[in-house]
Amino acid sequence: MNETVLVRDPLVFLLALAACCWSTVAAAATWNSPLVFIGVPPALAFMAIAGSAGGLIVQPPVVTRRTMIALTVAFAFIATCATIAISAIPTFAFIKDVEPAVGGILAFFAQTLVPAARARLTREVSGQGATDQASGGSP
Amino acid sequence: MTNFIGWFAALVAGVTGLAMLQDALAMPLIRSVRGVAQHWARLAALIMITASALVLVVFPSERTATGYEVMLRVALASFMAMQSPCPWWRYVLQGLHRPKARKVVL
Repeated sequence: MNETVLVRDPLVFLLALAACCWSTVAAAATWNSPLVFIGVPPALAFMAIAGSAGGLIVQPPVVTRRTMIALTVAFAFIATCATIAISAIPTFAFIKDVEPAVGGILAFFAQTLVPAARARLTREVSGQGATDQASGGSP
Repeated sequence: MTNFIGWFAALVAGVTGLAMLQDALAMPLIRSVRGVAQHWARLAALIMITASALVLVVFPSERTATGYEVMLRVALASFMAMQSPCPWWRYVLQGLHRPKARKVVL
């Protein structure tokens, strides 16, 4: 019966709800971003978002609003992850110094690169790529 | 509370800037030096607004502002939202295309 006490008293319920909302809002507005903990610097995130938003220039925006917002976030995410992953390769360690620029470039061209990579992967998986057969695919 | 207001202003500026960017790109280009310069200046400003605002949304610890600066941001973000067609959330989430009335077929 203890769990119904809070709901039965409207004043207590409202106060608890207000306190809950207040603490949530206060925590949400001052939290340290988990992206920092993961290892995403703010400069890289800025350039990735700017690149994916600027990439709309080269691609006519024929999609709906929600699709565009989702694609912008997705391309920024892909560019950020790709930049961090590439800079972790020892040969490409020099990218660490120019991570934001690389992220911006990748995000700008992500609208072209992602569908192209997808088509290429589909061809590779179905055995019609240029690397495992003499015919088909690009030279 | 100031923190939340500043964060919310950044969110409003980010999504409004992204929506305005899509509309600016769909707009017919005026073929003159002034028109082209205006177009690219608008695109650059909207990209900067969107990127910086969305970075502040996902990195709230980067926001360091005094109360007056937060007031300035809120005023600018609300002014920007007021430039959009009236139901702001519909402009951001659906665009200018209103749902057409269903045609009744008897």
